[in-house]
Amino acid sequence: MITTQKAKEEILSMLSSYPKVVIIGCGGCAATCQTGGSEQVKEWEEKSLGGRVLASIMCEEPCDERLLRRDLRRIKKELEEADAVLVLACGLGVQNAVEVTGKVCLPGLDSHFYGKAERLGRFFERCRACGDCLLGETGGICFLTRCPKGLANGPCEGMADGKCEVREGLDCVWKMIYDRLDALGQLEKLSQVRDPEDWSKRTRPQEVIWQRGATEARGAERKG
Amino acid sequence: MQLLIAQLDCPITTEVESFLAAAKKLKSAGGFHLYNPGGGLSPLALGSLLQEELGKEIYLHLHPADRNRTALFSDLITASALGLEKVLLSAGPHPSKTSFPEAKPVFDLDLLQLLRMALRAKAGFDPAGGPIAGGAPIQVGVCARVDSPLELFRVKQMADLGADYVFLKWPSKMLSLAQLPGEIGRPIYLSLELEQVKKTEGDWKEIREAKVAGINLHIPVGKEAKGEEVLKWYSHYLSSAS
Repeated sequence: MITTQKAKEEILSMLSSYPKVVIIGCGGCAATCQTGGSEQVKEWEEKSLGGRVLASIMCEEPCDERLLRRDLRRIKKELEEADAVLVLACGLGVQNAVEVTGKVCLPGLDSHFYGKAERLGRFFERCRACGDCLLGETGGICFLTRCPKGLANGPCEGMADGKCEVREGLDCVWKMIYDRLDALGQLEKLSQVRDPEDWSKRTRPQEVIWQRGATEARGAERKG
Repeated sequence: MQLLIAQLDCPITTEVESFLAAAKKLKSAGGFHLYNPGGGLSPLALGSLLQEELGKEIYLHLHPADRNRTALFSDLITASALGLEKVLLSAGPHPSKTSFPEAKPVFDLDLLQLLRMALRAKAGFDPAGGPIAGGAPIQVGVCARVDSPLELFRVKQMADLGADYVFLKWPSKMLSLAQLPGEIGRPIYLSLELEQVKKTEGDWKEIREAKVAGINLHIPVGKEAKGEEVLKWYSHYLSSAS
């Protein structure tokens, strides 16, 4: 999950009525994005919030309830005393912290998208978590994510010279898919007309629940 | 004889009379193509009014940029109920290119999916396969441009699905007029921008002699006089050849 840190003033404003604070950092995605890693936690603990911070922890993955519960045991006493928790993680981490601590938990980050890290500071959206991966049909390139219109069956009439009409300089994903399938000798895959998404299966909030007893391939029940 | 169609943008206004008055200036147009990029007057309502007042062919342009499949299906059967039998489909503009750049892009369907839904309606069925009481006898066209093999492939795909006609953005970087409509296999209307056309015989001779069903001339708001001038000139030029 790609995140950016909220403006310092916004975070300070959110925390203004809470004198005693605990900070939770994220050792996973937010550390990669350098928005909620140990350096950022230290910065908030030692500089931005000064003596108001009772304790801080770096959780391996605050989105995993088991790991968060485990790590919070280390600061149980400080957590009880705290007026609020500043969570430097994605929205999953913040909501998990709310459910686990019952405290006022405030987001220090904005969550944007599932992205790939090309290198430090360069993150690109590549997956929309559609629940029906079609990358095998498109040469491994996701049209849902990379077409601003999410078109499933070829380019729009706005494509010009292989470029997207929406964002200047952006390659049309359907041109990319065509070139890729051509190179792979799989242009016949373009012949299929894909059905529209079935939103009846995507009602929020979605769930995936593993079914007990499956041994070879773990069966899953998905609700949406 | 080629049909001359005036493409008009549905304006963001409540002054319907002004729109109708502007359309009436286009006496040489044999039909009107009503396009609402987003937020303008309903092309369904304008089309119905224009058809009633002028009695000319109306091409109703629908796109999924700002409507989900439910709303689009409603538009399709409403068009049929109002007697607007020519429906023209495109992917439509991204909201960032319209007067509502902050709007959520819908695109619940893409052009091919919309085409399939329209063709099912034409066959008398709703998307769930139920019969449409009274049917929906529409003719379904698509907007396309063909500047690359990918786009040619796609327009052929739409023809194979059953599109009745194609409004082809012209000129094409890939096809010559001589290759039309053989490459596409459907009646072709050449879509031109008013600003790009020059009233020179050399440019139009080739179009006049091409096997195309007509010309779609996009006339921006306020340019009706210039639009009529071009349509009138070409209309006379067509007549003089026949």
